[in-house]
Amino acid sequence: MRASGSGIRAAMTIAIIALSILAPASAAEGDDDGGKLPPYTEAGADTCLKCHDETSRFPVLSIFKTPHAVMADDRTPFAGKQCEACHGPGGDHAKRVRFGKKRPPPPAFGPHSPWGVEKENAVCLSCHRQDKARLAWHGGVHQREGVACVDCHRIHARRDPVRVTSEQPGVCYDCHQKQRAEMHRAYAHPVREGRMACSDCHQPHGSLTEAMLDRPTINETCYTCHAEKRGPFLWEHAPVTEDCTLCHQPHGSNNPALLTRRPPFLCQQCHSRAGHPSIGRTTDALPSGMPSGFLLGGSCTNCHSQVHGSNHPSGANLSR
Amino acid sequence: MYMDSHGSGSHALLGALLCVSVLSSAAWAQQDGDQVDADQPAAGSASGFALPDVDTSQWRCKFCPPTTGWSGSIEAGAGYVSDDSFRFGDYRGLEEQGAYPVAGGDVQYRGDDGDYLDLTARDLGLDARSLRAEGGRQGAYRLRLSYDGIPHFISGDARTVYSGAGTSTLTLPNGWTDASTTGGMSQLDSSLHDVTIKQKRERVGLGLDLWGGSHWRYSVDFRHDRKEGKRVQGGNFFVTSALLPVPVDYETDQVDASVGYVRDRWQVEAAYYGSFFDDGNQSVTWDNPFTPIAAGADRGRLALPPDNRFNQVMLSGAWRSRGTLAVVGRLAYGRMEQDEQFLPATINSSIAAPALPRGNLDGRVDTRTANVRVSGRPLRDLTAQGELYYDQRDNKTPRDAYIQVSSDATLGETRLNRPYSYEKSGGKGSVDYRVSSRMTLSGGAGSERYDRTLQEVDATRTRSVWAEVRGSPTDALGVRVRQAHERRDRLSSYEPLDLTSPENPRLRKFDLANRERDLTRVSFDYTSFEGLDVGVGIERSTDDYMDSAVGLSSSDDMSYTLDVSGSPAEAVTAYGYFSYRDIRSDINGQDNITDAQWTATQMDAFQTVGIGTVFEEFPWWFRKAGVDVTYSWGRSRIDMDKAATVSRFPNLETRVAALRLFGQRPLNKSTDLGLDYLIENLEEDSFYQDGVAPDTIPNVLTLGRGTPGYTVYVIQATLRYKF
Repeated sequence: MRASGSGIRAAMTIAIIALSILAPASAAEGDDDGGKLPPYTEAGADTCLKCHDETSRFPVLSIFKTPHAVMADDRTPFAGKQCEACHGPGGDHAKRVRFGKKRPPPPAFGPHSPWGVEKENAVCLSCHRQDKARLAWHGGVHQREGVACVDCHRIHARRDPVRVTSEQPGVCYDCHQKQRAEMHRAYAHPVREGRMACSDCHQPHGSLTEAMLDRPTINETCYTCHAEKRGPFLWEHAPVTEDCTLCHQPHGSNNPALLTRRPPFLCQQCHSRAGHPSIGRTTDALPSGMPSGFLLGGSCTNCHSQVHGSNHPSGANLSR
Repeated sequence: MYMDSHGSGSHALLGALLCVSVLSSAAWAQQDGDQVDADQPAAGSASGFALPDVDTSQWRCKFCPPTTGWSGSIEAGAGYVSDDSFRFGDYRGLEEQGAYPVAGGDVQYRGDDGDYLDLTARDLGLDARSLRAEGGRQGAYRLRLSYDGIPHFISGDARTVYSGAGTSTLTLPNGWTDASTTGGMSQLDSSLHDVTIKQKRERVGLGLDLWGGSHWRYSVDFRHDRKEGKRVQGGNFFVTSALLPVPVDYETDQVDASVGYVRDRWQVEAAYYGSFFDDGNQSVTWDNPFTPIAAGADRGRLALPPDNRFNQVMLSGAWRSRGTLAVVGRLAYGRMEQDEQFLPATINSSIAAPALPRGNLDGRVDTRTANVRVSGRPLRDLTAQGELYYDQRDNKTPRDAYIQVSSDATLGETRLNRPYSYEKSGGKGSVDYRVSSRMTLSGGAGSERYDRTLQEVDATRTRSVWAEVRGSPTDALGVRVRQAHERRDRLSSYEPLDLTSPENPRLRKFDLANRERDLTRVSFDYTSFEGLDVGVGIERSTDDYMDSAVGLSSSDDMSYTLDVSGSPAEAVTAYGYFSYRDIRSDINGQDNITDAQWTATQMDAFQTVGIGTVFEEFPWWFRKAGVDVTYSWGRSRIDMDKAATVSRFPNLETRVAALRLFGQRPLNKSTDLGLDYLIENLEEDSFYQDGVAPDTIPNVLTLGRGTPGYTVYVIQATLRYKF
């Protein structure tokens, strides 16, 4: 069955439908960069804190427990323009507002601030772009998708949830719902239990590796915790050397060891030698019939247990 | 051994170079018109952002809260677990019924001159504890210490006849009588005893970061992992086998070190990574519980993972123009090595062990990766990106002939080892065109060539293309539609390996086979100004292995997600999510190459539901309270269609439901009382284990593990002191 023709037709159909929905709304509009800058406040943070105090609807004082407020470090916002170093000049936001008029928002990081994602990210990157974690930010998936730094980070929080192992996945799940579902499956890495975070494998700030992995390849990422699988072994299992995800689903699976499916069916995707490997097992092999080790227990791995490779001189068939 | 890049790699390179030249010329042309306006921050500039200067000398920050001194919280309390359950305790450390201590905290110190110390601790009363300490002088240096304990409980109801479980020598009880089947093992029932299959991983980390002036940065991280316990592994003598509790005694030391030099628009980094794995056991020997099939075949020996090491150096760099052009690249060269002394070819003293061609493998694999990505905005509404990558596994392990001793019983054939290598190279490009502030059109294409050695296929080529429309018909609604197509073709014929027992010539291994893959994804996101967020996603992915008469032949994957969150009232947040996924795949086979054909159809279904709410100002007794409910269900159904009969296996099914209630009540200005209640239920059905006692399978002595199931509740009370 050739799917390419139908795939292209489906693409065209979807594109036509999408364009017909979206085209009427696509009238050109001006860029949302907020226009000319407002003036700065008269007293900096002292102006802002008159309203944004401990009773404020939007808690902000926790920022003073964070690295951003360390005045001894002259790189930090509070060693310079204070609140306005990030939020932009707040003169218009702080001044008296005529009755009936809405208070103009600060240029950035407010509920209705005019600066878009790209400009707000530039604020953060003006200090943080030189961190090695952000070396590959530009052109990375999150940057291209318009993810804002503040979509994940809580700058005013004493403990930024995304930097806490047990809380980080909840932030990622806001967008990655499929992965949340996978993490709830019966067999998964200890993310749900708070022992691992997404950033143990992925680099959300950008990476040159597929799936934004932290290491240069999929397998190298896995080996940081599972080094016993690296080898090289005398007798190697070819798919193991190439890509762990050929057999495993790292986000979670219904099968032990996070396998994509269980033996013998897992193995029979690739093995059909004359003899027992090629036999299609039926329900006759269940305990109610003639229980068979080719199906039950570990199935193929009852004997061929060295699935990741063997260093035994007589281990060519991965059973020693 | 080297492989040359061919047509598709050249096309990809040409495409990427074309992309770079377009981007570069546009970026250069754009430079003059894209200077930073003194009154206007340079939005979209890859090089950063600059606000106009202002005199802050009178900005005293007198209303700012103090930022120095000690602050944080310390917590202590107790909890109670209602029942023993290995499975519930997996990764949590709450596997035993009874009380447990709660201890932890989050404390920080900040000094006047930027000195600081951060300490966090969690679950100190459990094996699953974690500790973090970080201190230094902000902007100058930082020292990091960490400890994590991760218990992994695999099975609490396993039974074995072996003594020495978890050591390198497994022995049968004195007086054991061999039998040809498990049913004939007369001492089996009286010899079985409980054995827990569990492991514990402990990781200790030490890191140091230094900032040398405004341009240099230095970083080094050490991590020591220790993993010990037991795992289950099968040991066989031809067609009889026993599932064994083998030892896990792994230590891994890892080092990451880097030096970086940064300037305003570019940076480079040189890095080293080292990984050194040590296995405390080279092998495990076990007594054969079955009647030996040959003289001396009453003991077997399995090799355990050998010690290995990996050293890698990397060079990374990034450059950004004054405009929007950005280039980032990475080169990595690594070497895997393994030279553990070989075990003898057999432990059977009745067989003259064949001479080995060498004393150890002298295994070595060189890895090389290279990546470069160019991105930019050649026009105001057009962004483009091109990427090239290369990944090589160059296996330099010597290839020799090894005379096999099958199952420590009989001399077998001579086999040559296969040191697999591969070389993967490709490129991809994409463009995004912003039609308006409400609509963006995107598209991309890629090509990859994959060369392999010693496998059935020498080379494959994969080409992909995709298109996407993103739009916002209204301020509150976002729509995204994506269609992708990928096709993989062999560039050489499929040549079955030369094996004593041949493979079916019609078999196509799925990672080497021709394949067409299609993906369609539609998503809607609605965000109201009242704070309600609704997200809906639908995705379908199909794989068609067009030429695979035997092997994995097709897969059809459909998923739906719904996500809702919002604030139904002041100081109340609520959320709910639902996802459903359905995967159907077909595997074709044929008994003994020419006998009955069969198809195994696997239908996986997954469903996850969750709802919850948090009251930041709860109206009764607690100040803050919340509830969270999750339900996750997974089912695998396998039909075997063979000889005009379809037999359906019992479902492989898991169901997990959890309810959590929590509340915090202030006792005074500094102290909170926290109460947590969790009840969780898990049920699992698996025909692989259900009803499989140690003697159910005539030729396999299993551990008799059942599928886990539990209903456990946990109550925890914690006093938190804040300062």
